[in-house]
Amino acid sequence: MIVKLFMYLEYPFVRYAIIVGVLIALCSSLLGVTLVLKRFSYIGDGLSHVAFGAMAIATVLKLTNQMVLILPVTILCAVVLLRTGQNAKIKGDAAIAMISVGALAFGYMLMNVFSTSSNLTGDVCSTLFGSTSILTLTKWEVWLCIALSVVVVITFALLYNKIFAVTFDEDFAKAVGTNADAYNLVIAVVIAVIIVLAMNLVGSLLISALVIFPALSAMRLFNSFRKVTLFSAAFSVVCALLGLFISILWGTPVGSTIVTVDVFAFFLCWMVGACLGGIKR
Amino acid sequence: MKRAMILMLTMTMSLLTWGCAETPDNSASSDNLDALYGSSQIAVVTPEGYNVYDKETGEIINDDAESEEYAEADESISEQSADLMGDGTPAFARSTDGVDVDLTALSSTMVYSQVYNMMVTPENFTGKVVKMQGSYSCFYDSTTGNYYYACIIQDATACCSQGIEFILTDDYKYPQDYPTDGDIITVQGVFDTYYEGENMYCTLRNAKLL
Repeated sequence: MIVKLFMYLEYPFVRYAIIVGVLIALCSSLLGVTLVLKRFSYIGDGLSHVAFGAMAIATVLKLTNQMVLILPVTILCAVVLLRTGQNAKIKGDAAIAMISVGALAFGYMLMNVFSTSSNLTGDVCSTLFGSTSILTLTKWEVWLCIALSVVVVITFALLYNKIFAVTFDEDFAKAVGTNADAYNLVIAVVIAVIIVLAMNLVGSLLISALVIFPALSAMRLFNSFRKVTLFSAAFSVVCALLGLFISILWGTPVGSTIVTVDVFAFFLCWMVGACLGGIKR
Repeated sequence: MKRAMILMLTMTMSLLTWGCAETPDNSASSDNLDALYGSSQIAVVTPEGYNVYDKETGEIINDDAESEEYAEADESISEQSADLMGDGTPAFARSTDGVDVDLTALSSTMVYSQVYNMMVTPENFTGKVVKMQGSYSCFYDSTTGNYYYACIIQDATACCSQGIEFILTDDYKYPQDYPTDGDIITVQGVFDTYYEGENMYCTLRNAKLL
């Protein structure tokens, strides 16, 4: 099996998949901790459906580079959802649900009415579940993912303290003079970028798993924000790699295999955390 | 925290450097073939040797084995191919069973991805002997009046299909020697591309059923 794996690693598209998979897993886990703590776990699902809707419009318009439309639309929706705040008429989860199902239905209807492919069901299924999308990346797409991931990691590293403050106590952060609205905007933009990238790895419907499971698994074992963040990053990368290797060795869909590995690893962390009482700070 | 991030970034960049490193181009590029045979013709490797096709009509034009021109070209190919990859490995060097791209040895996820890759970058596979297994499909196009035969494979969720057309050798007579629609077949042939109108298609030439 190891020999077969090394044989597969000689294929360029497998190496591209590993690179992009690792980067996406890393970026999604970093922001996942913030989203889980701010009770916005389901935003990944909502934004991925918006990205699907934008992708449908881009497909109908026959755009060569669909990112030109998908990224700005997703960023705009992320800003709308995350910046509405306490005084919005339609609050958090309702807004996410409304935009999410609306975009999904609209996108699928557009692709049916203005079909540009002979295998519509296959294209939609592949986008929603990410069965082999990660293994069919071009070099340009890989470099784009790399560039965006580097930006996300650097942003998180430089703004770590502010993100920490805004995550745990936004009112206190505002009271001491932190521009919480600006940092919420940054978080929203970064989340949108990660969601668009993650669609390639696990598909639209399973993105939430990449965001939620690493953070929740880390919280079973650690108490401090720093340790939870670092562990969730390592956890996410390991699970993504393991899921990718299993899928290419045994011929399973990539997206659902990665999420299955995430689920098993979460239960493992839960049991370890329950047995050991958590690793105290 | 910043140190941890920088360490993560450094490791990631190392991974990227390894991953994006160019692998030797194992294909006989069409530039090399064009230089030898001229831009209107293309040489395609077969298990028995080489066939030269007219790019526009797709007809074989090297039937005359005694032609001096092709004898010289054959000799020239042997000399040229000795170092087409720059490391002494002949461009048309094959594994012991004569197959350059064996899709039957890959998992279903890898097969689908590799076939997708072949469709997107056919120039990297032109001239290579390909072996694949899938379900047989026959399609008659009333606009061209031709029958097209393909080997179809599905991805892991079985919702998406990819396929490669194949053209069996003259030893096979239609319909008695051809499979039934939906049969699982193993086919081996030489990967090539051709044009019908403005569209380019991929096919396995001189194919045989195993």
